[in-house]
Amino acid sequence: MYIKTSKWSWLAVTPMMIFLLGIFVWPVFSFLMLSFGDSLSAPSFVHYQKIITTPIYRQIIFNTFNIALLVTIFSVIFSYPIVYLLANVSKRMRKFLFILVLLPFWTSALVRTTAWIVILQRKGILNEMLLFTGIFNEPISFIYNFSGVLIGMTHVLMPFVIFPLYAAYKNIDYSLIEAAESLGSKSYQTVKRLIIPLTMPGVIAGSIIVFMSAIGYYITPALMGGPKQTMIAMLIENNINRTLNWELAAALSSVLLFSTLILFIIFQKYFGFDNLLSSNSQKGSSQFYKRKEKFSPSKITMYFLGGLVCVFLIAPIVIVFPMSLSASPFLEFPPQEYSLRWYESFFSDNRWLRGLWNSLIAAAVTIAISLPIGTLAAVGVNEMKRKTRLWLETLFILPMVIPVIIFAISLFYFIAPLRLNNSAVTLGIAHSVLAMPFVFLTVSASLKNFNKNLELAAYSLGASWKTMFWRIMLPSITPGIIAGAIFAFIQSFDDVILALFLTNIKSRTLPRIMFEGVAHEIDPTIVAISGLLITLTVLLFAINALFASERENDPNI
Amino acid sequence: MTQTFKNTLTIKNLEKSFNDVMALNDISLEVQEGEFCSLLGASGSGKTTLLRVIAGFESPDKGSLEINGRNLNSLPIANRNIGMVFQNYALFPHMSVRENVAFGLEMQKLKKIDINTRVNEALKLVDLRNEATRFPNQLSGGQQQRVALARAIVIKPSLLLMDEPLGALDKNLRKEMQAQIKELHKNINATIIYVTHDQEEAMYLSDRIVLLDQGKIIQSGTCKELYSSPKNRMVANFLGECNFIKLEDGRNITIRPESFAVLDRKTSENGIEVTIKDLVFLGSYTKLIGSYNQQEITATFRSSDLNPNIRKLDKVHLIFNKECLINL
Repeated sequence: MYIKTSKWSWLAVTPMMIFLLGIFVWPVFSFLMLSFGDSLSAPSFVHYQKIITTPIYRQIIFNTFNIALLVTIFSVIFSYPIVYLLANVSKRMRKFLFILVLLPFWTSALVRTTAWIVILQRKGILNEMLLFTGIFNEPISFIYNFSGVLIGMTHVLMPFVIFPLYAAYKNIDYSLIEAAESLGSKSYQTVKRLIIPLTMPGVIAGSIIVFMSAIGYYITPALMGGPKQTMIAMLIENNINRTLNWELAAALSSVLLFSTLILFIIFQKYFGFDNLLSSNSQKGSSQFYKRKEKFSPSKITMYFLGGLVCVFLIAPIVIVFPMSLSASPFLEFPPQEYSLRWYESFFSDNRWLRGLWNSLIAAAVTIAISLPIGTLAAVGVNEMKRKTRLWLETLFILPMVIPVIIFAISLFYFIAPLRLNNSAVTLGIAHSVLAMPFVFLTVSASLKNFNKNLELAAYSLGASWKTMFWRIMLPSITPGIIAGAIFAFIQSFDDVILALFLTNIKSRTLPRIMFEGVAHEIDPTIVAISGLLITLTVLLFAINALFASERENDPNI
Repeated sequence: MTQTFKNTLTIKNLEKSFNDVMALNDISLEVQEGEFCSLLGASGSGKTTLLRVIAGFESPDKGSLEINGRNLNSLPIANRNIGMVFQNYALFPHMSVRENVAFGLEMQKLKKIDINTRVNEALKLVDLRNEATRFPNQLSGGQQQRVALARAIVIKPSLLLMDEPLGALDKNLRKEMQAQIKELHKNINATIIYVTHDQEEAMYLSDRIVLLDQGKIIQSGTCKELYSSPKNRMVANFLGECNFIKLEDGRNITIRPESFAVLDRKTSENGIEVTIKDLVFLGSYTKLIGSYNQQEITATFRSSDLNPNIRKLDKVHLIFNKECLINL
């Protein structure tokens, strides 16, 4: 070949490999090994037997899969109307709707959960509205039960179905639909015989992701479910923090991890994880004829349903703001009187400010570590042969897949004896593991769009690889790097689970303090913080959009 | 299958515009039963829009569409019973050949046995019985094309519409498919409206050609009519080549390249003296490109008729019969 890049590319991926092996793979492996007892030469399976023979454990595992399955089904059902809406509205409206979908997706899980509790609790907004209309005489329990878990988790996970489904829907050649119509197909028949089968691959891809994520969920079921909705992740946490049964926790983690990995392998085999973040850039059908149709009853119904789903997605985000501006010492909506007192209370309380400071330190450390290492790895992997690349990619995105609770406990197991948990820097290093895959994927995506001929042109004009990288490649992948930085920041800043295990009273972060508050009782300061965090997300979004605007001009998006 | 196809299409004063651009401007047309009618024109001439309006994919702003006197305007696409062959075939990728062809019959809620018989019949007609269980991506371009045809004719449509169905095929396959389509037309005696930008294809297939430009019908008639008495320069140029020559005496003449004879000396007959700029040997015929009074003249001759001693830069006389001139 024109230039020897193989040595360079291995050098480039080495830091990420070492980092993940040392701080992620090895701790997780060591922790899971606990499940086989003390001696590796004579592994014992008592803990696995215990899981199988104890009815309550069986029940919890069944619960977990049951909840995950229902969340998956709801995600799919709700995704169709909104995808229909996305595909049929004008370009500008579509952009707006995409923001509606993405905003909750990138808002901290804690903020969303807080908002849902505020809306759904017995004295919450929804109940007050229902009582006001007089349809119901007493408040309905929406949360701390099954419905709470379903609502919370569907809300978070739905975008994983929406994106691949939208890509699949957009890829349907419109002339297929016209062909069906010309052959006498009514609209319901077209949906049944064409739209649903043709979008199935997208739906299945999204469903696997949703199911896989759902079985490892911790925060939402912990805060919005009741005792009957205990899921595996909560049981694992309980075994670490309450019953101190590490071996059993490890065995449960192994079960959870095994299920997750099987789903991940299936997904990788048929779909490929790296397509997920770049699903927007898939090519649509070249001739996207838009017929000006009269509004048919079915169209109106779909628009209405799509609108409802939009409300479902955005309501919790929107409602937080007015509530945080209330002057009342209790949560109320709409506020009788407006004031900034809860924002003041946040900024004048040392406990919160220290949390904020710790969060910022952790996020800064996360970006400082994950951005260069992740970018380097993406550049290296990009130069490699297909087969090596697939293996490395799988390793590099593993932290996105494995339930965070398992990783958190594994690190806790390693760090606790070393007493490293009194610094936010430690947390930042741990967050880097979560953030690095995002940097890797976003940079990889922009490298894929990078025209290889530009590189060759630079060489032909006498540039060395180094010159080419700095002058040609790096400028064109900058949007990917910026997006990676934003994802890294959000990963770190929103994390609760790692913070729960890796920080102490001195080093705890903002989300951890919020979590403790929400689990106890939501005071209006938390709502004010939620408002601030949403503003921050929106801001980051805007920055990303600004830098990505060149890509957005692509007519296919 | 024969009788159901026999239908007359009447189009009156059709208009359609997209964002203030007139795509169809006052189109009136009658297509007789069993007729093979081609809509010919450059891209943007409105031929595809006209087809899509007939199919019901677009609704006209003005004007009416009738089949055998029955108004189509307000009829939903699904009820029009019009067969359509799409440019990219639009085969359902998740269905086998058999399922693709059966789709339209299933929509009519026919009995399974009847569907089977008719699908077999259609597959036989396009010679695809052995490929019935395959999926579209396992077929060659020509085979996909034939599935699309079978799928459109199996429902016994009152009209068969084809939108540049051979556009994606290479030249040899095109020729082969053209022959098959012509054969099929004869066999099922269908009323066909065929969109193409290829004048040779249109002439080979059609009973009648409708030439469109900028949303208007420029001329409509048999191939011979359009070729020998084109209405204007545009028509003359679109079907075959044409010379528009200003003679020394000020007269303008229009003449096809094949209407010339070549002589190396002057005669009293009608003729022009040209300097040969190039001689292009094209097998059975040879093309002579010459200049006359700074005008480029093209003439074609059977290669065997041409004097082998003629060379580039020679001066020759191209003579023509008055009867061969085209009156514009």
